[in-house]
Amino acid sequence: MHDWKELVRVRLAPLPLESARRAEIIEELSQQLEDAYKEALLGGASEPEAVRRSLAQFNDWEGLRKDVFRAVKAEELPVWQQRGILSPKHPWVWAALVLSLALLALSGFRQSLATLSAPFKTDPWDESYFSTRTLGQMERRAIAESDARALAFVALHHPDIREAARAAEKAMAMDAHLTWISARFARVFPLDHNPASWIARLKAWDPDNAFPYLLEAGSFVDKTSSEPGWMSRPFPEQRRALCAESNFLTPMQKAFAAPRYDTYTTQRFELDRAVLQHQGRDRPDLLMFSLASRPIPNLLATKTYAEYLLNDLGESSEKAGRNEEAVAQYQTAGQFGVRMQQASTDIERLIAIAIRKESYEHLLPLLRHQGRTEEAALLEAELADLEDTLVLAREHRSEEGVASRAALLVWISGIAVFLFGLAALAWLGSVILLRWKENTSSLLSHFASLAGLAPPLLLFASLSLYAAYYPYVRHINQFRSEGQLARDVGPFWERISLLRTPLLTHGSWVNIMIWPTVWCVVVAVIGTITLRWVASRRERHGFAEE
Amino acid sequence: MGTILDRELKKGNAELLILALLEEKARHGYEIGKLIAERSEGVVRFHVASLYPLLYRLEHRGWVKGEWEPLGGRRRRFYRLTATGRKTLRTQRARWREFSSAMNRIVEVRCA
Repeated sequence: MHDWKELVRVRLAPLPLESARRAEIIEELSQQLEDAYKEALLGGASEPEAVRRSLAQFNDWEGLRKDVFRAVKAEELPVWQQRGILSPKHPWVWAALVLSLALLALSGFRQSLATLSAPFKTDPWDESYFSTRTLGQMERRAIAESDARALAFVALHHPDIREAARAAEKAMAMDAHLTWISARFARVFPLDHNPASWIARLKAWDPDNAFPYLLEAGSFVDKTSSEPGWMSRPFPEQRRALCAESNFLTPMQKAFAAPRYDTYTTQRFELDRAVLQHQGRDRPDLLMFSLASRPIPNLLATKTYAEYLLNDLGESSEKAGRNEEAVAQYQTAGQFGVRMQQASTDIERLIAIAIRKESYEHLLPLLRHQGRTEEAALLEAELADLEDTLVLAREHRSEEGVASRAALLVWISGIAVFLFGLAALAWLGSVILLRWKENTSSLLSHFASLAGLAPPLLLFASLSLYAAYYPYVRHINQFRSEGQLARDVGPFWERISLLRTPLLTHGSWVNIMIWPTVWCVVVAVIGTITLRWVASRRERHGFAEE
Repeated sequence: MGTILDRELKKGNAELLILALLEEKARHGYEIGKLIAERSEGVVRFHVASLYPLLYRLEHRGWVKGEWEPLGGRRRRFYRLTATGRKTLRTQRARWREFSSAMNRIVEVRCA
């Protein structure tokens, strides 16, 4: 004889109703089971089959419990009374939340979270990385500890140029080797800032470097190009007008004659890495964006002067029969291109290659005409090498497709982490409130029972984010040079920063989205199957127990 | 598609079915479930897990009243219509007739 009443009582427990009403419901439902069981037996079913048919009427006891409570009380079953797989009574919901939070202990996971805001930044270096308050504290500590490098860091990153300049003065007074930071102050913006003294200081400190002279010429161009009507003038006219100005011509001549081209990338990389390490900020993205925000010469102005050398001076000399003079002009441009090609950014290298290529194309026929065949052959080989370099550069761009897809995948996972994180926080708040005061609100209880999905989804999204970002996880002390940084993580962070553009403007965004979408669907399917498997296992286990 | 329509139809008319069955006389839950299946010749089948919460909801609204009565040597909970339930049944039945005749006028039209 089956004790149907006991079976119903156990499976519906706890049913937070008045005891008399609860007993009535248990009795009524047990009669339903008993009647169905007897009817099955009368119909010729075996004993186990009759039990199975009877129990099959209620395949979701937790659902029944909730429905009965909702029907009787006209409100949701309090979330702390629920026994479903996502009930706060179950440790795995809390385990999912704790594991998600535990991931924050991983430096790589924290790095991956930084990808979220990257597409929304307008400048590579965001002021939020180091607030003015933090930089002020760093400055005070640096002065107290005579830490010139920390002061130089403040000088490079303080958003207020006057504060930055003050820190730079102190840093350079402590260590003259840090004079390269003057390059930060070589632009004419803001308009009331005078870059001349900073450029003069840089030139005096590093006279063999083309960079300070290029900055000087660039600052003249900044001033000139802001004059009304300048931009509407045709380019050859702009070029001739610029090169007629000694404030442009003299520094450009010195820059093209200087034996070195160094934009202080290595110094900046080492300084940033050391200070970030000291500050406990293991963030390769900060290192990347700091380097991306460093001053570089005005490349258009540089190219303009190279064209002036080649097209105006060189060709005029050639036409006038002063071939040696023309060769010298072409060689000046070409040799400058060789030095500039050592630069660290792609754009500088591409400009350098373009200058060299144009220079060699001018030089080759002239050398052949002069019968300097050996020199011409060497130059021809160099020209072919330049073509190869351009091909390699294009191949490098195609490799960036991988970084592009990874960036999108990471970013979408990051968005999921953000949204599920918010939902998990709301769930946490609601269950705490409902624990404290059970009948706060039926709506809140309903929300809490639905939002129980948030902690496991947060865990799935966090694991998905970490897995997608994992190939780019590095500690900043693993980067030996700025070149390694640019090679290893540069394309990824560049793509992350550019995400806003393809997402909003490219018509082919479906092509970009297809794999991330497939990935998300796979993660969702695995998650759903796992949850259902756990639920069915629990249900079977429950039947066996009873 | 058919499943969704069936589900919606059942959901919308479940209350009407129960109220209609209780119009004749008081019945217990098991009987209600059986009668729905029998009278519809198996087309409409109520999941028991939905039937009882629905009965409790109707009782909460005051449309039916459940009372324990002896039957076959044990007590059973019988549900009967209240005055409010009877009024609701009249309204819902009128609405159903209106709806079903409108549906018939559309569905039964044959192409000439």
